[in-house]
Amino acid sequence: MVAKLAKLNNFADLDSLRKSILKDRDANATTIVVAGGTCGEARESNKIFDAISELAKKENAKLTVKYTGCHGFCQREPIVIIEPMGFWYQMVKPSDAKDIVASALSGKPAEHLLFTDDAGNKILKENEIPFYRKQNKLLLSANKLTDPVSVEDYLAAGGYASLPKALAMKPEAIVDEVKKAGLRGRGGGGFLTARKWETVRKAQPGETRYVICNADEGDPGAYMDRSLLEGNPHSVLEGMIVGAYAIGANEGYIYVRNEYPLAVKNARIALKQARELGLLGKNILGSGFDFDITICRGGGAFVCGESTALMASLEGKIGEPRAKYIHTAEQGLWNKPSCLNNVETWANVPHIINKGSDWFASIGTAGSKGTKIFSLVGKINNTGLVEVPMGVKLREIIFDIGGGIPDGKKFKAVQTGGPSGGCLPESQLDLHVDFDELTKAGSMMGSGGLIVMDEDTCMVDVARYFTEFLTEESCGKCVPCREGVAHMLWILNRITNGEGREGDIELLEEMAETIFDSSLCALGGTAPNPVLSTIKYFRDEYEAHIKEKRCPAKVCKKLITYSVIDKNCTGCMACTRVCPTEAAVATEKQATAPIKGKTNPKLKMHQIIDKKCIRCNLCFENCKYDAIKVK
Amino acid sequence: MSKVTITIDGKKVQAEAEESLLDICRREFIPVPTLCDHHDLKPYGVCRLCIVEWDRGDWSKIVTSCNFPVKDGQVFKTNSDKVLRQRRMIMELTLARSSHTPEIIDVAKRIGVEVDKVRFPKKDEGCTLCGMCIRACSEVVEANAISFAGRGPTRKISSPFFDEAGDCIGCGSCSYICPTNYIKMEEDENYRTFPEWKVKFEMAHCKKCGQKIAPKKQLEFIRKKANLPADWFDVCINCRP
Amino acid sequence: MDLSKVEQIVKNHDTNPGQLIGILQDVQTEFRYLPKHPLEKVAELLNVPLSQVFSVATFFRAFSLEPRGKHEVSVCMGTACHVRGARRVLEEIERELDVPAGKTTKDKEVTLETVNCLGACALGPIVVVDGEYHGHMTSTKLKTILPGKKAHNVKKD
Repeated sequence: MVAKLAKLNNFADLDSLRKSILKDRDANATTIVVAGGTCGEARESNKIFDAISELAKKENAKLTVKYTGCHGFCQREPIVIIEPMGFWYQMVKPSDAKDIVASALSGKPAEHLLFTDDAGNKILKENEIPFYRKQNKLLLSANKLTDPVSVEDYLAAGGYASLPKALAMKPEAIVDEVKKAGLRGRGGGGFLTARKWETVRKAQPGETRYVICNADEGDPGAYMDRSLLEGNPHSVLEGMIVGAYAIGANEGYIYVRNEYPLAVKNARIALKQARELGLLGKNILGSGFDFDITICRGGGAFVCGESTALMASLEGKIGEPRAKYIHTAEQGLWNKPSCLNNVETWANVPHIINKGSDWFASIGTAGSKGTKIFSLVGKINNTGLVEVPMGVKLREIIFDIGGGIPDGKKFKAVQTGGPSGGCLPESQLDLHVDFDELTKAGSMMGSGGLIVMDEDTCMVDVARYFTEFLTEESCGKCVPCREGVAHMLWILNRITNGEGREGDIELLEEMAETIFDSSLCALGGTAPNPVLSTIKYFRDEYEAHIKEKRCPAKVCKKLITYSVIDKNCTGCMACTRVCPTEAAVATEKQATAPIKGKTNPKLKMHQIIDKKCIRCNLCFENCKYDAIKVK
Repeated sequence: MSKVTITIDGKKVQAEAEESLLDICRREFIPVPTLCDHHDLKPYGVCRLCIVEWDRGDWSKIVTSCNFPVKDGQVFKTNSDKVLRQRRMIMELTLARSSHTPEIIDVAKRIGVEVDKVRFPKKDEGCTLCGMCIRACSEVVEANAISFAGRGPTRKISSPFFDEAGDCIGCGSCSYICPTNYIKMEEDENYRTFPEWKVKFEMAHCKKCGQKIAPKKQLEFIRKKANLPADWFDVCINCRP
Repeated sequence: MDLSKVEQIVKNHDTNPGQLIGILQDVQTEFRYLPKHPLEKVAELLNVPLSQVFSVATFFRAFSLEPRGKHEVSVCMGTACHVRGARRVLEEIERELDVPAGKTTKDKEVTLETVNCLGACALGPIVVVDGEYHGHMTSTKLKTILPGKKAHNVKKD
């Protein structure tokens, strides 16, 4: 792999390279697949890979060990799969390497690493696990068997097959195909991709034009783009090459968050490989089409997800949006026609070219075609990336795939669409998730974050959280967003601090109208969504805070108190030891609850002095006897 | 440029295609308030006061008139209830920021904001962040000496590193153009200072009549840019032969 | 201060003003913050106004104009982490280290930062200490991972 890749000069070269890679590979060879990716590595998947590799080498057997991107089931990571048997191992530790190699050699599963379902049955294979069963992994499936830094893997899996097809087509025909497929932008607004491409194609004839990949995935709680770019970077490049050819661009950019170091690294490696193979550069595969891509790292600004702000920062300026009365498709980067799509959108393109628009359009709903990757996070049993056809019910995603709420708690809301979206309650769970349905319900698709909240989540605090986020992320250019959102935060802070006033809800609603309509860009133009959607569905929680000075979910610090439940207190002093402010102290009374069946006359019942208590929750976390009450 | 016909508040108006709606309104004596627009600068669209309603038949959209390029047949309302209501909200927010600034209080009163009933915490920021100083410095003077620093509610106008503005030539455009008189320029016979940018300039005097001309640095900047002879600014315009 | 490093960084980015953010990132990696002289050098080499370099350096969250600590503690404030109690974890760290988020401790040992989302939501709340991820953080657990505290504990033993 260190050797420079030989340049492919035509379509036939690509075909024969693919054939020779496949010939060298034994489809039946036992392969141990270790799922990496950022969250895998946070749990030592790299150490697991090293340990397994070392053992495999010692065995000198026909074992291939492969390190791939994220497999989506984050909750159960690190994941290891043994192919071709398909054994699916979860929550693997480096010390499990021995058992895994033994299992690969013997062909028998390592029982203790298998997934156990609710009924206690051991499950052998991935597709039998409830989390995976209802998914349709059009884009994410490649993550499972592809080493992101191996272009051979990508080619072996049929990668870059869309290029010979697309480059032999008329560019207009590609735009047509994408139009017939009904592909809509996966980054937020759900704009028709082909319509954008068409505009860029026709704008400023003869001028330079650009394609840009938006990998500045800013919605907190959404990380599907990271997973695609770090797990399968070539699929994004392939989509961009097709798109660039379709609109007549010779230069492309990937604008990626600097918070995703692995994605940056893998995308850079992929670019280098694609250049060496001649899949980027001059005269791609002998087609006469020139195209190359530059990677730019973002500086950490949510507003740069907005097209004009992103382009300003690509020009080396601050990420300040401008009015879009003239679209970026006509005048974008350096005032040239520019086609900006996000990672997931680009990754869909090769599939449409390969399998045709009819096939693509057969997946999904009338208005939203294809699949969508959601990141299912928060108070949910199965945290992970979920790829389902558009139109699946929220309930199916959260309960069938996500396994419901942990610790027997009750579902309260699901937040969709990131800071621009809204919170949907139980009554909306049968909604069929697509671009239009979510918007109708007062939220939006956004990039596909689904943050599940349970009964312990305060919805006013959630609105406050998003509003604080948006206040900090506002670029500060226009008045409604800079001043308006900040003052919304001021009101929400008052409410959560128990200083809410009659009329606050109405004032928030009044401000929202102006901020929606009069803000310069979409950040401000959607900023009131979290507040309005929580007012719409959880008005009673606002009223409890304002009128009764009570936080029903017991989250807002100024509205809760900590106390000791006398009959449960054993006098163990755990609370005293951890209390940072000496608020948890012993009383004169003897503790009555026993420790291991015995009461000790020396142990005193404890109390919490409210004046000193800073509500850090440490006593609650450390009390083993349920003796701390939060009210 | 081709001619187009648009409708503003029910009245048919002739204009150039792509002309800014605010310019058209001004020509037609249709009052539209604004705090960040200047005829020598490109529209920036930040004060949002110049919003109007773009009537699309079955729906409408709020747009800022200063940077809206008109097309034939478009219909606008500059004083619908919605426009007036939103302008008042925007102005109330602006007034909360600059609650002691006479120019802001004046505009607020004119568009119907009850000045003593502002519902948000009041601050006393003389700068409204309209960016006219920065835009004049880059678009007109091309000195690019100042910029915005920070973002969101903490955004401010600033010299680099909040320190001496090394690229400032002392021309004073920022001060002349500032709509709230926030950027101060102090001058005596020998020096001109800008406290905001932490800079002080020595003034040039006419070698003939002794009249004060301008900061030496500014004259040098102009001389180089216009490729003028080295002694061009030795004398003032009145003494120049 | 070694400005030749700055020259190399700018060259690595093809002296392209469009790469200003990337250049500043590399300068920050080099000096651990963005000092004035290197930025002046960047402006000069790219032929862009210093005011523009300064505005970019103050606009983006990734950049710091103040020297940063030897250790970096980042608390993920993503939504998933938030609903699982990240705010409480942050407040506890602020109290333990006696430094507000976004600042560096007085002894210049630790810089405490918040990040919007690390995209590792299954592990939430997450605290990253010098690049190492610590998941499912609680106020109690974090005492063992904070840099200053760790060193302190070692000394005591």
